[in-house]
Amino acid sequence: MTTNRVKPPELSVITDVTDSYEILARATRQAAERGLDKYFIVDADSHIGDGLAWAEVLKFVENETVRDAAMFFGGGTGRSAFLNDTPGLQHQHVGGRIPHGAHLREPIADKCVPREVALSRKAMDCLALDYQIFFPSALLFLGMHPQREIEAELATAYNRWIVEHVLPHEPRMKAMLYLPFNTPEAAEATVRRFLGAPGVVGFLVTSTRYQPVHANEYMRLYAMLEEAGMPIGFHAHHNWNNEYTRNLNRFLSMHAISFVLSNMVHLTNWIINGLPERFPRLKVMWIESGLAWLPFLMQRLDHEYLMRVSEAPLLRRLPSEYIGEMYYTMQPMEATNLKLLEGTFEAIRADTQLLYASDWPHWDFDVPAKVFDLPFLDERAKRNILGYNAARVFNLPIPAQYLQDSRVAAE
Amino acid sequence: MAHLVPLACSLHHLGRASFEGRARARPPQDDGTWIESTGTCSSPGRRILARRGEVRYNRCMKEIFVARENEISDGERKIVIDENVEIGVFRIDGAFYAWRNDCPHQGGPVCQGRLMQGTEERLDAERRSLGIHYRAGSLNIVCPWHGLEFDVRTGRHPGHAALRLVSYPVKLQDGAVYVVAGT
Repeated sequence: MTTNRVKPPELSVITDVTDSYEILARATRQAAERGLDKYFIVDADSHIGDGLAWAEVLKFVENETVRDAAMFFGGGTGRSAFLNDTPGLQHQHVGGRIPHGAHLREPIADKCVPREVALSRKAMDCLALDYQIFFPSALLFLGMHPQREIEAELATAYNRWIVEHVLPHEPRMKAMLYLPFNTPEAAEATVRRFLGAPGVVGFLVTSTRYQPVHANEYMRLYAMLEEAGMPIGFHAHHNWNNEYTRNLNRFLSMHAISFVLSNMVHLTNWIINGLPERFPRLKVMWIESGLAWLPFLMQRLDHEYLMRVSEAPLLRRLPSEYIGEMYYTMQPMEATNLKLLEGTFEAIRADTQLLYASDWPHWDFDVPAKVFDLPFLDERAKRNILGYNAARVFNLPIPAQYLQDSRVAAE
Repeated sequence: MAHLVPLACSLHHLGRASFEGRARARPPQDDGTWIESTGTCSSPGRRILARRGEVRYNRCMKEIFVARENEISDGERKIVIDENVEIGVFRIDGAFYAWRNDCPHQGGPVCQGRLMQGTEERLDAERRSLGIHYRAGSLNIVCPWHGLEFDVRTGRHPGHAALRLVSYPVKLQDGAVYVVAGT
C-alpha cells in the first residue's frame, strides 16, 4: 500500500454564489468520460435569464405609460414589475437545500456580454452543448396574468430583449419566443414581427393558462407557423391556483401533478379536435412535462376514442398514433423504473421524436449523460435524442465535424 | 475512453448497480463492520479485509492524506481530490465519515452540498399530523444538484435504503486523517 502525505487539492461547499463551472464540474467530467465532445448535442429547453435582467427587459416595453409605470415598482428599480408569480410560493430551493434552485447569483467577470450570455456559455461548456435554446423563467407564469394587454406588452418587450439584446452575442444561443396566447391577434402579430429574426427557432405557448388550444381564434396562428416551418411548443409550468392543485399541500405534490396536468388538457384538446389533421405539417412540441404521462394518455385516449368515435370525426387513426408523431423534450425524465421508461421510449418513438433538454439551471435539471447511459438505446437513437432530432425540428445547422455522424443517425 | 461509471437509471436497482459498477470499497454493514470488497483488485492477496478499528490493507490500496485532525472541526468537512476520485471527509460528533463525491442519482457533487437536519412528520395519539419538523439528532448531506439527501453517518437515503453513497475507510494516525482508496 502506498501513502500520499502531500496536501491534496480541495473542493468547496457549493452555495448560491458558486461559479457555474464549479457547480457543473462533475457534468464536465461526465462529458469527458463519455467522449460527448464527439456528439452533436442540443439543449432544447433551458432557462438562463434571471430576475436581475428584469429592469433591462422593461426598457423594451413599447407603451410609454406602461414603461414609466414599471419603474415605480421595486423601490424605483422596476424589480418584479407586473409579474404575476407568487414569490412566497417558489419552493424550488427545497428549503435551502438546492442553492441554485432560487437563482444563479454568481458574479460574472465578463461585462462585455449580457449576464445571460456569460451564464449560458458556461453551461454549454460544462454540458458539452452545441446549441442551447433558452426561455426566461419569468415568463412561465404570464399566461395566468389577469391583464391580457400586459401579457402582450411584456411578451413584446421580452421577445425584443432576447432578439436585440441577447442573441446577437452568441450564435450557439437560440430562442423560442413567447406567444401572448391569451390574445390571438397579438400572438399572430408576434409571429409576423419576429419570424426570421436571427436566432429565433420557434414560438412557445406557456401551458399554464385556461385558453382552449382548439378554439377557432387560433387557426390563423397555427397556419402561419405551419407555413413558416416553425415549431410551436407548449411549455408546462406549475400552478398552485386551480381548484385541484389547491388541494395539494406540498410543493412536491403540486409540482408533480401540475407540470403534467396543463399539457394533458392541451394535448387532449389538440388531438381530439383533430388539429394534427388540420395542420399536418405543423411541428408541435410538448415541453417539460417529463415522459411518464404519455403512455397513460395514449392508452386512455385510444380506449375512449374507440367507443366514442362520433365525438372525434376529424381523426382517421388512433389518438396514440398522432401522439407518436409529435415532439417531446425529455426533462425531467422519470427513471425509477427502467422497464416502464423503455416502454415509454418505444411508445412515443423516442428515436425520432424525443429531444434532450436540460432545464438548467432549474432544480430538476438533467445532464446529457442521462441519455448517453440509458442501456436500451442504440448509438443512432442516442445521437438523435441528444441532437439530431432537435436539428430537424428547429432547422439548426449541424457543424461540419458531426456531418458524418448525422448521416449515420439519419439512416 | 476512460473507465465509465454509468449514471444509475433505475432507482429500483440503484443500490446494486452503484456497488457493482463503482465500488472498490463497500459501505459499512448494519453492524458497522466492513465486508470484503471486490472491485478491480480481485487476485488473492489483493483483497481488502477491514473492520472498524482494525484495518488491513494490500498493495493496490493507498492512503490519501486529507488533513490534520485539528483542521477539520466538528460538523465540518474536507473534500479532497486524488487523481480521478473526489472524497468528502466529514467529522460529526467526533467521528469521521468518508464518502465519494458522486451522487448515485445523476453523479452530482453530493459532498459539496449543505449539511442539514432530516425531517419527520409528527403525529398525535390519534395520528393527526402535527406538521413537519427537523428530526433531532439527524444530519443529512444534501446533493446540491437535485437535493437528494443522505444520512451523513450511514450514507443512506432516508426514504430509499437501497440508495446510498459509496464510502471509504478513514484512518487516523499521528494526528492526521487519511482515507483509504483503491489505485
